[in-house]
Amino acid sequence: MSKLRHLFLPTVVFVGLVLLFQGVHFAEHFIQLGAWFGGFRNMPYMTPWATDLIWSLGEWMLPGEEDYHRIFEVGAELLHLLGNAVFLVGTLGLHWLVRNTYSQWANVFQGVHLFEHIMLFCTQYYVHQSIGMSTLFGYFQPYGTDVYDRVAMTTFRVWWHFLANLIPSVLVVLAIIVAVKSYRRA
Amino acid sequence: MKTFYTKALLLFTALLLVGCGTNTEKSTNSIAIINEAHGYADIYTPERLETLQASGEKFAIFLGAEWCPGCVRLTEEIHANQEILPAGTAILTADFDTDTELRRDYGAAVKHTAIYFDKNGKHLKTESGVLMKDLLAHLSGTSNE
Repeated sequence: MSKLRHLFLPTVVFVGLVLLFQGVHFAEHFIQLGAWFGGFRNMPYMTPWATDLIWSLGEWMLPGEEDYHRIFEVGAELLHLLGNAVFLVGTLGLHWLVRNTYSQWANVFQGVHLFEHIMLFCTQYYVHQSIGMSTLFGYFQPYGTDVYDRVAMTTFRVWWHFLANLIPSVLVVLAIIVAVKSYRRA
Repeated sequence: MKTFYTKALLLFTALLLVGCGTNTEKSTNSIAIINEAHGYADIYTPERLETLQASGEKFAIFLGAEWCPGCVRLTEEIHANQEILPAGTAILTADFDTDTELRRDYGAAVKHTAIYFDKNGKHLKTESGVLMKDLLAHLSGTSNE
């Protein structure tokens, strides 16, 4: 551990930046939930800047693709995958710094969350359908079938991802509070 | 610490309200450009459909939704690229959520759907998941219908 002491300050700065990023990411999910309460339920709402980023990522992933839905879906899954990968790196860094039960559980929950996004991205990219826990393993997705229900699909996904962000975010805040308190006591 | 929680709660409530206030109203601005050198695109109305059915030219209706980013992109592409539509042909763009009568009449169950008509104004087929090239193939007569 003493050999890694010189990494302490850079890690604090890095974790701080990542948690700031997660604040913005979580705000996006809050806005999405607000839009859901406001009646926007045909698809999960995304802010204009997130939408622009999605288009850019989708076009980068699928050059020459003419199907706009495919570009958007792949871009959206990639954006979520990247965002949550960044957050997991942050929770791992935080755990390295504070090492308490809350930071440990934040890693577990964010690990599960990231796994979900790996599933969603890979299935969307390779089989053109997002299959994961938050889409009930693709149950709601197929167009033109009796099970296709936009509102149910959106409701389930919006709430699933809101909670999947809320739990590790709260755990991260608790981990920091506990660490600060024990530091002050010491 | 209580001040922190109060501020956090206020921030989250504000963000929630930002989302609640999301504008979902649809645009009704017509951007009709009728040009004899090429086709034209316009927003669907029952009157325009009737006019086109009597025009003796092929046309199509594209049903997109305001909340669907892919539909919005294709709608924009249709309106922005009228010069590539064959002369005399037309594409009307309709709203999936409000033009419910049109959906019912031509069996459009899902968003991002095209309704194709022949030169006699007769309904040929309704197809979902269409691309710009599918619409052009129909209008130029190169599709398999």
